[in-house]
Amino acid sequence: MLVLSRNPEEAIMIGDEVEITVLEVRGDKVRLGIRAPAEIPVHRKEVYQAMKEANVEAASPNDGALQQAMLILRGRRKREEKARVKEG
Amino acid sequence: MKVKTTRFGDIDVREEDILTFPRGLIGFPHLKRYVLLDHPGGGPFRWLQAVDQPQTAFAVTDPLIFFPDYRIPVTLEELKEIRITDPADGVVVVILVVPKDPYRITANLQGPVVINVKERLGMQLVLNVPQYTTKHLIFSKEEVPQGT
Repeated sequence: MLVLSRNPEEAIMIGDEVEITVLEVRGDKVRLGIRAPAEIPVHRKEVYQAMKEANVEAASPNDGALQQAMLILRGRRKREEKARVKEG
Repeated sequence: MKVKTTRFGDIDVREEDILTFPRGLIGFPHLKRYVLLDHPGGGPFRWLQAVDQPQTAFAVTDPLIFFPDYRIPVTLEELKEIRITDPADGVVVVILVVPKDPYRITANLQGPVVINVKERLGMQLVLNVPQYTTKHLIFSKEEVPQGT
């Protein structure tokens, strides 16, 4: 890993288009400003990680459960219809 | 073209029905081509089937069926890579985690998938909205039968 020391208001460039500026250091917190083209997504790592895990988990859905979910939905629709009839 | 799938066997897909995700889905950067299939039994569920990996298919749904108030704060700038210039061209689906117990099915509201139907391009967004997480139950507690 490349390690660089920066003072507040100093920045680093990643390639030609990504600029990361140290805005403020206060206690154990560092505030960073990131300028990047729209096609380069920037996320907090824990958010990115959660999204990745969610996708991996989603990649093997249980077909039977999906089938059952349709029945549950059908039941929900029936209840809603009944409620509507009562109201009307 | 023929697409091999583990779930649906070999299926015929028209070239123009193939969706390209320039960056893939998060965690699946190598899979860039998908096809959106209706669930064989009908209903609100659909499948985002990877064209180049037979076993990978995501169950997806229209979020508004389960979360009528769901809105995604997104700018056209963020949708540039799928060439959306008019919000009406975008179709939003959310990815489901479907475990064995149907009452535990969750929807990823933090990472909706936006598809530009006209251009056949798609992308997954990551929302920075505190109320949306990667796991929202699609059925309410009241719907779970008593005694299970």
